Amino acid sequence: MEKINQRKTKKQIEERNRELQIILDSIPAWIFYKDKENRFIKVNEAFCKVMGKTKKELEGKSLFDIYPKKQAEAFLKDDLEIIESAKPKRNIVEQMNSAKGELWIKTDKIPYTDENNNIIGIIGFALDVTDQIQIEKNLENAKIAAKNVLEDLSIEKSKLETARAKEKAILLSIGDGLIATDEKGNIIFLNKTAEKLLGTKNEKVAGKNFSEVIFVEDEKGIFLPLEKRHINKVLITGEPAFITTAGPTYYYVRSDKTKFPVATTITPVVLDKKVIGVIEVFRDITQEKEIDKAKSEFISLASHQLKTPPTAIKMLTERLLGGKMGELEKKQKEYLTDIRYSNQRMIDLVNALLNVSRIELGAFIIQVNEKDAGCIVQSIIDELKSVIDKKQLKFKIISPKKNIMLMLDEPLFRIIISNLIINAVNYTEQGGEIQLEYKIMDKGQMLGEKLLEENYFTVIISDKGYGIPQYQQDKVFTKFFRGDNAREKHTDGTGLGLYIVKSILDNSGGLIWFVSNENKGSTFYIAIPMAGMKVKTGGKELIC
Amino acid sequence: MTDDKKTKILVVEDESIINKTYADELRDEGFFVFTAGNGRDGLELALREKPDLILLDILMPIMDGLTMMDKLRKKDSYGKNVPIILLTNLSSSEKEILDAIVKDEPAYYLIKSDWDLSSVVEKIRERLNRPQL
Repeated sequence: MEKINQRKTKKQIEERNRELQIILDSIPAWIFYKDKENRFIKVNEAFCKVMGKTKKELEGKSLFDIYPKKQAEAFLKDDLEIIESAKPKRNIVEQMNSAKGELWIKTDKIPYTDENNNIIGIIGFALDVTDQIQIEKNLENAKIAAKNVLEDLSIEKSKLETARAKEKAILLSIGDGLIATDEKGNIIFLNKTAEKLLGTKNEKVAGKNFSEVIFVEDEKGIFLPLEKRHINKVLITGEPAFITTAGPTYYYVRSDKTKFPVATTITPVVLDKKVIGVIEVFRDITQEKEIDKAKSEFISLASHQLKTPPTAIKMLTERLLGGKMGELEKKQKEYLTDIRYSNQRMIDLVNALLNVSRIELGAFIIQVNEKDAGCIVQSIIDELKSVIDKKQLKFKIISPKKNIMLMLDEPLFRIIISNLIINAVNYTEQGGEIQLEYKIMDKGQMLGEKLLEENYFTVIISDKGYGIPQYQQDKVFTKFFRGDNAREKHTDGTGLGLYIVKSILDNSGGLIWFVSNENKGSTFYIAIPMAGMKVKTGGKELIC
Repeated sequence: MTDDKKTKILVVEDESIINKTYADELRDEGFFVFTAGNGRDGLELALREKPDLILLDILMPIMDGLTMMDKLRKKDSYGKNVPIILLTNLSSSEKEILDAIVKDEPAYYLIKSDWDLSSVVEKIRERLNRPQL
């Protein structure tokens, strides 16, 4: 009977053990039994799998054989703590090496007691929490990232607000008036200075067309119609426009009908190649105009004063030389002639300086009429006949058969031609040769190594005189320039002639250039557009 | 030349040397010459002596030449018609001068420093010999 009971019990125990083993091996968690010496007593299937070893390889082995020393020691420490305290340790989160690599595991360890309640080791129950840890980590990172983005946004926002405030302050306080319009010319914005200068308010003009609320007069006091308004031109052409202190004067009219002269810059606002509006920046130049006027008046007065004594000398010497005050000795006559000559040079110099200062101030005018250019050239040559004959120069003229009619400022044209002829005469030896040719030339033709880009009326004056030294040729058109070789042979002359001639041509749309060789001679070319000299207002005539 | 003996010229010029030289030359040429050193005296002399022609400077103290010319023109029929030659070193493109020229119609406007005495005399004779319209 006992034997059967023994067998039955043994079978039951075996059954139980088998059941237990099946359960243990089915559980996805890792289960292991360890003794006090850090050896695996029993492990389950899941544990074997994660360790990549068989039960045989693990059971009975020390952790020191399986894990790196440090890790094994850490595990043992935990175990001993539990064994000592007889208290379980739960939720131990630690890293572990495995066949799959580094893992995060969460372990629960409880004391392993025998039938006498002696602690003989620990039982461990571990789960792979790598994924959870990763998720937690990701969340934490995301939180930090979001916080950073928020901070950055906040910084950017305050930067933007600061910039906006600055912009507004700048626009409001720009010392110049600012007008902004849309593509139709309706006013978008008027800054404070513009409001002040024009005597109006942004609210009054916003949305209205510029031509209806801002009025402009020219020098003659005539209101500019829409087609002549600069804003209109900019809107249509997309090119910027300017009104400067030089050049014709324009006045903006205030709401109280008073007016002031302006300088302005109007630029188009272009988006995707289309003009979507304009911005005008303008200022009151009353003071500048007054200064210019004062300068100009001073120069007029100064030159008037400077010419008074020489005028007296001129008249007195004339009377003496005329014999009206008695017969003169030869030497007396000679000296008086020299006085008259020197005196005339002074008068010429003052006139030249007056012209130069008018040119510099941009304060000289160009008025054109239709003239026979060839006729004027001929009359100048006739006027200078005595000088030409005195030096016994051979003067040849080449001219076309037909008359050439051209829009010219006659006095200025005379200054140009006579200066060039006088230079040719002065800088050619006694008995030398001078040739003057004038003709119409077409766009595309070459003249004096230059390609003409328009139809021009041209005058070519060539001499076989002293020429201009190569090293000085770039200074020919500067003030008071006279070639070293010229100075040697011919001491008088103001040195301002070519500067004045070039300034006149520059301002009237003409050209001047030359080719010269020292001791061989020079050829000067001047070209005036067949369309005529460009008109220029806002000043006085130059003195011939 | 006998005409010139009776012909009276008034020279109004503040620079005494220039004034004297014009006067000397004109007298040598047979004219009868009065002189004044400023516009006020010039106006007085003109109205009193009624010269056949006036040589008038512009920049003068007390009363300038343009003002004198304007007052003279407005005074009476003599003043309206007497030939005036403006002689100055100022540029004619000054706005006030241009306006005055248009308004008061001087016979000529000559730049002193450009015109020698004999040429001025020629211009005077030219103007005086022009048949009255």
